[in-house]
Amino acid sequence: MNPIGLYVHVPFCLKKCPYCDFYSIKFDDALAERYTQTIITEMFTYDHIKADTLYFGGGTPVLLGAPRLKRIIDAAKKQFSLEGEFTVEANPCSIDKQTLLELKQAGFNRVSFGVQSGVDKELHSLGRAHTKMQALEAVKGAKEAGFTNISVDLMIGIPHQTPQTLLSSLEFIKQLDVPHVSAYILKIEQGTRFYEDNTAALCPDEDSVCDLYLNTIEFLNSIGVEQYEISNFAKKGFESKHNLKYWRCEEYLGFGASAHSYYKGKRYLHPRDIEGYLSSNGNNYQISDKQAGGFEEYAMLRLRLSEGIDLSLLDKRFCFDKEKILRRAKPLEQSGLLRINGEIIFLTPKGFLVSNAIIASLIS
Amino acid sequence: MLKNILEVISLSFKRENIRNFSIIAHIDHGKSTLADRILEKTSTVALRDMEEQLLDNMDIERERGITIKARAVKLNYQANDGELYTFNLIDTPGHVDFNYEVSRSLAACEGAILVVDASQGIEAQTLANTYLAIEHDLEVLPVVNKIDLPSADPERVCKEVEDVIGIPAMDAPRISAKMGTNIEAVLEKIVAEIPPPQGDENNPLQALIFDSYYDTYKGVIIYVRVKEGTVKAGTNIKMMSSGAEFTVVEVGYMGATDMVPCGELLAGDVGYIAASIKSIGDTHVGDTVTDANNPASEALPGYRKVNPMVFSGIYPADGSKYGDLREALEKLQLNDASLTFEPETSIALGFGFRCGFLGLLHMEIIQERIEREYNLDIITTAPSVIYKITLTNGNVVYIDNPSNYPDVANIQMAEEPMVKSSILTPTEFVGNIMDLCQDRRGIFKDMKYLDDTRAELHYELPLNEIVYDFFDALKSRTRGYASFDYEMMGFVPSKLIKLDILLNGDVVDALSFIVHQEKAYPRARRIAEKLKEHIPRQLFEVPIQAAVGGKIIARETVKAMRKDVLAKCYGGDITRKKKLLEKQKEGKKRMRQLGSVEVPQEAFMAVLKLD
Repeated sequence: MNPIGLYVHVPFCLKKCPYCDFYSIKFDDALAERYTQTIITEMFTYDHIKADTLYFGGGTPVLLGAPRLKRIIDAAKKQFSLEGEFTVEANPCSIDKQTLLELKQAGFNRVSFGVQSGVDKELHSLGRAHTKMQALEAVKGAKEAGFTNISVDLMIGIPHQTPQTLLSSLEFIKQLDVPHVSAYILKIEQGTRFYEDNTAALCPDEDSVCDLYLNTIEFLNSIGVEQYEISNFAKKGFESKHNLKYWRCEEYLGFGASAHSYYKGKRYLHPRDIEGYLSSNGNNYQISDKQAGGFEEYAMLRLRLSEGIDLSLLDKRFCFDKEKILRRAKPLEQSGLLRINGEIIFLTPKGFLVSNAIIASLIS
Repeated sequence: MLKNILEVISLSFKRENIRNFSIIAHIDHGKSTLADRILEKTSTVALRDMEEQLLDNMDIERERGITIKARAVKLNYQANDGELYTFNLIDTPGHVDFNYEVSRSLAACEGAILVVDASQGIEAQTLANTYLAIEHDLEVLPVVNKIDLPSADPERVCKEVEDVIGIPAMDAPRISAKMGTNIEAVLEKIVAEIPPPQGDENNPLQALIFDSYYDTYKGVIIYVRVKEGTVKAGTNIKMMSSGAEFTVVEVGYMGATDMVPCGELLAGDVGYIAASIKSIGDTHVGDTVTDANNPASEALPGYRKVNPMVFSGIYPADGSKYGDLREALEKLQLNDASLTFEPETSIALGFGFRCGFLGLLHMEIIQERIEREYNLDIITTAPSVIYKITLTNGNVVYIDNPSNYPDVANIQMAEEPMVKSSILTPTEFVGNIMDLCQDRRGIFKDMKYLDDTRAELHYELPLNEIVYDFFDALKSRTRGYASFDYEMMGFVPSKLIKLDILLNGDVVDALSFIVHQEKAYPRARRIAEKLKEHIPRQLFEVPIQAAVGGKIIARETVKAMRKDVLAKCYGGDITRKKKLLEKQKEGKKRMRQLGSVEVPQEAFMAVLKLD
């Protein structure tokens, strides 16, 4: 069996960002301690399976503090013979060199900063507490603390963004000289403040967003940080091993409120409810899909990757009509939305923008 | 109670005490309400059984407030002269599509009540049916209804009836069917002025079929007016036009809520015949029923076979429901011999049926009944009329499906059906109507002013121009005040061409239609625009083209979709992503795949309404 991935959701934030719809609550130290204990308890309910990635996402995982994070890492190592990629998400403003050092010592070897933009005005309208300068400092600090595998997030389609400001952000990222970038197109979800405030009116229109996205791909590719997934870019060898598991339809366990798991053919999740999570000792699963991992799901996830899907490898694994898919792919190739190489199909940057429609037209 | 009535009816059976009549009225002028009041006054229906507008027994009829199929009911009335009278009220369809059926219903009567709205006056359709009644030598009794309305002006309306129709009307009963006011006056007029039927029960049988319907247990039930002779159970009857013969199982008359068997139907009677008839196709409205053993020397005059005038393709939205659609059409046809259908296939829409209708309303009713009563989602193609094409080799072909239209090179002469139309309108809209008719290639015949405020216009119009949206256009240009009626005139030579619609370079057969040369450009442009509105962006650019022969005369483009929602898979949460995919797939189901282009079903409908 292949080693699995581990995900820990840390739902604490000092302040909610107006565009964020992930599960998060106000930080409380006592709650953080109970939460840590429950995560560890939940880990010990699993068999001794081998894992090779651990990812702390949030919220703001660093709010737990390096010692608690270390306790979770140690528990995971013990329970899952964990070795490999250890990632923690961090905000450029809530981290200093000392903390980064502690994180390194705790066992993390990868850090992902929510930089989002290299333009202070944009950072302000995103409600981010940090400045471009602080982002620079944070990345510098991480490097000094010994991190070589650093990722930064970039947001596309945000209020007031223009091709010029995007270029500034990209130049800034180039200056940061990091081996991994996640570039997401802002999607304003219901229930967020951006939604309430109708911030969409301040954002670039759909056509412009498409251009911004394509510019981003072109720029990052040109500096050797190459696209390997719809929203992810890396220098060779720095692709996120953990995230690749999602897209390759490999198994992972999620710990903590709102965390998702895919294990033994089932997808399940903890509800977005910290109290329920704590009071059940991490035992409040809900199954979201009993028969996960089918061909459609596989194809849907796999086509997010630049490497695409290799139909010749799937004959034994799935029942599907290969010829039909290849036939349907043909006209899409002519429209420049995907490429076909033998039996490998992969989307082009233009194709990534309409990936849902492409996937639906290939497999339905 | 019922027993009493039956006795009374059998006692009263004297031909001179029978009154056979119809009610002629415009939609909403109160025909059904008056019929209900008459039923009530003659206590044919106990009050508790009264449902509003009893005679219209189909849901659609009730909702639209119009009567689609004729029905008949037998009533008895104790008149002021102390005599007991038998009334046969024969209801007539109120729409132009059913003109022929109206004429047959009228032929079964000696009189007609003309109901006119006290505030609105005569409408085109009423006028047409009244002329029809006068043509059949019917005694026409004008009745002014809705006198309870504040805007009622009975004097003006009576004068209008006298001026326009030329029958005395000043003493017409002023009634309110809704309030039940003055209904007796109508009943007494019926007794006094409508002549009793003629005929001799000892002559060879001649009975006029004016309606029929299919009963699951008894087979086809035909409604007849016996003109001469006698018919009873055991009589071997023969349909004089179709030649089909049957043995009568049962005769009777129509009560308000059910059928009442009786011993025999004699000359002058209106009733039904059940003879285990399997197919409604054997019982044409207008045909004469005679005694096979003692046949009449000739059929009653006026019979003609009704031919469908408007055609459209009907396809199941879900191809697997083809069998269900066939079954629905077969069942509808059991009761409606004027509906025709035959299988056809379309490259775009798959397997379906080419259906023929008497007119647009008939078409809409059938479509609606398929969807409502049989719960089927259907796609209908643009209505087409029938074209008469003389080929260069001298053969004549009739084309009811634009996709079968011959190549221009093979056409010597193309002819299209024309109608004689009459439009009644308040004078202020005359200009608008003239513009509209002009635009629809109408040929102006004449116009006369009925009074200071109303005018009647006569136009010859190509049927082709009225099947799309003429009614809607007329209504919107006259704020709903104009009324319209037409009758078929025949074929006239015309400069017709076939317009093809291409999506992404491929002809979509279901969207082709025949159009007059002069109208090709504007209609092509309009259709292309409409399609653009209704075809969602796809993964590639979709050119929409309209072409005549090989020549493109209009073009629009649906731009390619650039971006859909890029849901994140953050923290391994793929549920949203999956939902999006499901939604996308669900959306696809409602689409028709035409070559590489996905077209929503609404697009086919949208091109039907271009105004």
